[in-house]
Amino acid sequence: MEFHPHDLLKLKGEEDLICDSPLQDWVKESLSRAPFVVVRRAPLMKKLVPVGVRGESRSERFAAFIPYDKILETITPEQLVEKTSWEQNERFHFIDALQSLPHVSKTLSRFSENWGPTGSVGFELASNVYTAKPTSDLDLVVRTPSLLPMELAVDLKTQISKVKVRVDVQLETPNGAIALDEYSNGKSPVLLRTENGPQLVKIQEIWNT
Amino acid sequence: METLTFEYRATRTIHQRSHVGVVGSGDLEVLLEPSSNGQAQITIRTGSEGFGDAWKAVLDRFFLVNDIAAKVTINDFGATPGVVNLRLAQALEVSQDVPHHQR
Repeated sequence: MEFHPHDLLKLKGEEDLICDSPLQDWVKESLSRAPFVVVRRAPLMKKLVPVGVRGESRSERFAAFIPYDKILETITPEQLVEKTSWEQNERFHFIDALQSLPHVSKTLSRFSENWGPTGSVGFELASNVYTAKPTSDLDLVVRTPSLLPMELAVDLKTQISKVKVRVDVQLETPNGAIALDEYSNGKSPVLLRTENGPQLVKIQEIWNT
Repeated sequence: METLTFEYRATRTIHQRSHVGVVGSGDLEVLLEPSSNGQAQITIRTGSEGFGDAWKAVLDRFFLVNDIAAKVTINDFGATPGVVNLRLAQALEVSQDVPHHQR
């Protein structure tokens, strides 16, 4: 089985999580509202997937693991795009980040076939539970298995800045993720998020194997 | 939104202003400016409330090793301590004007 950071995993409930510290109350409440966890960027353990539980505020994040056999369903950011899931979302007209998805989708289709919403918007689209706020940014992951030429990166940043919410694009390279905002700046080094933690890498070495 | 401030005694100076990092989930912006009052004065604005102890632990360690006189402004968007530490190191490097990454 293959899992990537930002994939959403459906589970039965809190009892299926494995964690080092006791579950806080907000974690239980959060899982009973929406039984989904987010795959974290951390090494896969044997038959255990590193995941995080989202709470309502930014400070509410809880790290745990889920055994493979407790995963009921995997929803990738790409699947949310394939289904154009925002069209069915009842809050489409109230949340700017959701409303900007058709434009973003049209723009991104020129750059990558593999992309999708993450963060609160992705979570809401996958779970159908109110998660995004009117002030939410739109977080996106864009798969870039090979070097994204700088002109394209700058073009993408320009195009994507035209929507009315702040769009935060993470470029997922084979070595880890970088922020489009930082990469398109052209300055070295950039911060690469790897499964063994963040590191600074030279801009010309991001895609090196 | 929460604002945290920290102060450390400093003996070393930095050469120039530096600005690193990005506005985005799990990241932060760090602005370092030279200061002449013999202190590192750090101001953090963060959307993740209740992490004062974690900030103190990261900053204590960083400014013990790097006792620079500087005004440090941080805009945090939920960065982990690892990311904070890297961005501080990056800001310090740029402020000392040795851009060998670009050679």
